[in-house]
Amino acid sequence: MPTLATAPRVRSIDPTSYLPLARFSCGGDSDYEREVDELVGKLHAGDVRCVVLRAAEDPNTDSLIGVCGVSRRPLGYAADAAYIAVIGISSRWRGYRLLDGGRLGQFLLGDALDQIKAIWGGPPMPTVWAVIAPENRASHDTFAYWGFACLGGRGGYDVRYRPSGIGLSAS
Amino acid sequence: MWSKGVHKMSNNDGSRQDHPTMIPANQATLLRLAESPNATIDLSKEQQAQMREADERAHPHAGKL
Repeated sequence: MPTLATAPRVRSIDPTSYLPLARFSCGGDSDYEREVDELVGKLHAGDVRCVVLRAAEDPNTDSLIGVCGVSRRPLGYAADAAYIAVIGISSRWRGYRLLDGGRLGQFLLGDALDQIKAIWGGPPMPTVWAVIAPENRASHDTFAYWGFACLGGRGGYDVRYRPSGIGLSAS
Repeated sequence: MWSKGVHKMSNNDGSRQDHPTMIPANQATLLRLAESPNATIDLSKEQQAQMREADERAHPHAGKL
């Protein structure tokens, strides 16, 4: 398993002026991977907006490792919930691990939760949710790691739900 | 299952107003949820119950003496 030489650099980006998004690809050919690629392209084009879009980069090469975007979307009785609109690892860096063995997706989602806490003015943390393709086991594992319960789904995606007030420690 | 979105409509006086739009859940893709402000998934009763259960597990003493 390849390992990053140094810890990623993470920052908020303006997607319309961040050129690496123009050629971003997860590298997969499943419907949900293509949809992530398309969504990142729409963010870059300014057709879709997020409250915050975070980019993890390799500080040695400035190469884009992955992105995670957060929006405000209600869910059920949680009116002011945060929604993980997109999370994806660039094909160049798929399979890489952090120096401590951690997964890049877990790292990106943990950073996004930190951002949500700050933007929503926590503590407490707000409700956070996402939709994940049922067959995307890596993403399900990532969200489960951060305490997201699976509510199942009847469409093409499962709903992952993290109750408000939960701290930022992984489960 | 349906997703709620919001689209803009013009009133007779030309002002703009938000109106909810119902989108079939099997079309509630990542793109649709990202593109539509206030879009959401209309959870089934079972999913709403699961959501409450998750809340109760997170806050076991909420609402209790």
